[in-house]
Amino acid sequence: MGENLYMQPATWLTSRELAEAAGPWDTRLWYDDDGEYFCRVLLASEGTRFVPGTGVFYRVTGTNSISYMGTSDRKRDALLVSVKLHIRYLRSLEDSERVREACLQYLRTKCVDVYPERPDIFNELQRLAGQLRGRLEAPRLRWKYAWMKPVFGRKAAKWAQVGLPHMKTFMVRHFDQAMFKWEGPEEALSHAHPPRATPMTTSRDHT
Amino acid sequence: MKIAYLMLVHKNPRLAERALATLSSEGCGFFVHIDRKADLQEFSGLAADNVFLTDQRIPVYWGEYSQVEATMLLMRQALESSAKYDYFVFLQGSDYPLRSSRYIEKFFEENKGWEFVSLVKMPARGYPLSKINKLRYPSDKPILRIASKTLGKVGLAQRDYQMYLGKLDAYAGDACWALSREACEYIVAYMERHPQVERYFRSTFTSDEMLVHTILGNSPFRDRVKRSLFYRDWPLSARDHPVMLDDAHVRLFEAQEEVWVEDQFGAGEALFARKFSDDNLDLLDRIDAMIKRKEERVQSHARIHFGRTLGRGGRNPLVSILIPAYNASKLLAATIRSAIGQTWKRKEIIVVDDGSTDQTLAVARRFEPEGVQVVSQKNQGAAAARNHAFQRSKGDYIQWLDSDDLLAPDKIERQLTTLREAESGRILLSSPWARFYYRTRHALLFQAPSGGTFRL
Repeated sequence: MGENLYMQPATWLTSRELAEAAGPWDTRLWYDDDGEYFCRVLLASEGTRFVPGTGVFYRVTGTNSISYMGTSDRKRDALLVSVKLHIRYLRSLEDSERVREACLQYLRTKCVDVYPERPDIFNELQRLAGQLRGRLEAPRLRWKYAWMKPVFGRKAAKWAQVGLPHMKTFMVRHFDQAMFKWEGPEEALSHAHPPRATPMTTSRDHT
Repeated sequence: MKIAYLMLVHKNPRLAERALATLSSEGCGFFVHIDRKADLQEFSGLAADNVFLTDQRIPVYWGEYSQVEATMLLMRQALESSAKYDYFVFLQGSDYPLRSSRYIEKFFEENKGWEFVSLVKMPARGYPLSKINKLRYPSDKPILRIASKTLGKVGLAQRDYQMYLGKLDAYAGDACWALSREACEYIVAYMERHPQVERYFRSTFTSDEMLVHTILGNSPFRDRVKRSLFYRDWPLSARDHPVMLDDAHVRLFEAQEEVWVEDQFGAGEALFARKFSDDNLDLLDRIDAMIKRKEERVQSHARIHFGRTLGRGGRNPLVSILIPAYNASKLLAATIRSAIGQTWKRKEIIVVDDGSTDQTLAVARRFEPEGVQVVSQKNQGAAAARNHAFQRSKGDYIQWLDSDDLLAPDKIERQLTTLREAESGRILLSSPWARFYYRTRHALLFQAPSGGTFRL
């Protein structure tokens, strides 16, 4: 998903007032719990401020990450709950043509994770699409893997689509780990942000 | 907070009148230079108790030293005034404020000690050394002006600035700035002590974008510089001038609580915008209405949130960094270190071990002597671990942090320092992020073209 569509959860700084208004984390969600939580935080907020010049580093990990779907049925069940909540929140804000279209687009990005493994969830997503006055087609394989379908079958092609990028990540990650060990520890992330002008007087309250 | 506005005008008398009316307040003064080529009569509407016209009027040509000369005239006059002004804001005849005079004064009060000028060491993107090396002989005579221009165009008017300015590093930036009294005094004194600097820039093209910058860039004020407070739209297609602002720009201003700008000079709030003209005065009506609306919001927030500013923590809130951890023994230490290393001092760090089967708990406990609180629960999932951490936390602000991610050292400080006293406790703060595996030096933080506060 593009950088401008997804915000890594650690980027947010939430006041207690806002966190209390949004409510607790939903313990039913074994997948996308952060997406659902920050959706509520956003709805309870009185505005979002983007503060550039600093930031957060999001570690790409392997299959032990909570955002790795794998073969987990429990995560797929959670995905459905999370999707329903997202759509409900968004439509509570505005129920218009453009919002429904956005929800449909959101459903399309999600059905890759459940088709064809969980036809029951896919049917449920199709039903949701119907409520949004739209249709949800079975997701197509990406062109890079589509040619495999007639040769090796859909299952193998889907496996390749999910598995090969993971294999690539696995290799890049291990290469980076080796380089990390070789180069030694980094200096407190000092390169991550531009040098900052410091106030001349130390007594001035910098907060 | 007393502000002196130094204004260079040559046309758009109505615009200037309205800018003056919007900015005018008890403590401020307006020092105005009217181009000798302009008709003085047209500007008769500017007259007021706190408006001082320069006796001397210089014919000002775009990009030439005459512009600097007129500005220095204003700066000296404002410095000599018996009203000891604290800040000097340089405005051109096409500028207009985006906030009320009260807000602007408060802004300078809160940011006292900073100089607001977009500044970059040459050579830099858009500022090659050839810019400072280009000779442009100033003259009132059209024939000499054309000859000098042509020589510059064909590249025959280059010289080496270091031969004239010695050890000075060359700096450049925008000709819009707001400087403290101390910085202005420094500039005036510097020019008196170093007449060769004036001589050199007198025959340099666009010296208004380099003289003040070079002096400040080589001074102790260099460490106290923030980007300028001006919004300008200068797309690649518009070569020499920023574009005239239109309806779309005003809508952008209206959509943001604080108009946020970011470019190669850094990021910050814009209090003024360039450029308007007498032909689009209707936009000013909308900006005036916007200024009023925002001012009312600031006032009403001040009433509602009086006494519990910045949430419950006042000016120095406590931040809770909450880290749920499950089988994260290999990566957890780096994450905790990035939390401990936050430049924001008032913080508590809570790690909740979610029934890990590896050494996670032991790794976390190693940091207990450094004040990290560690609790353990039977495995219930990340969401339950986060709720557990939240229940134990006391912070006015919450930083959720996963056990393998890292915060840049100034992440929390930078976010919190953007909050204002009168602001709602329900502003959600965000920042850029980047993917990495092990080495963060290759991770580039995503930079949005502009920030600001947006409402759903």
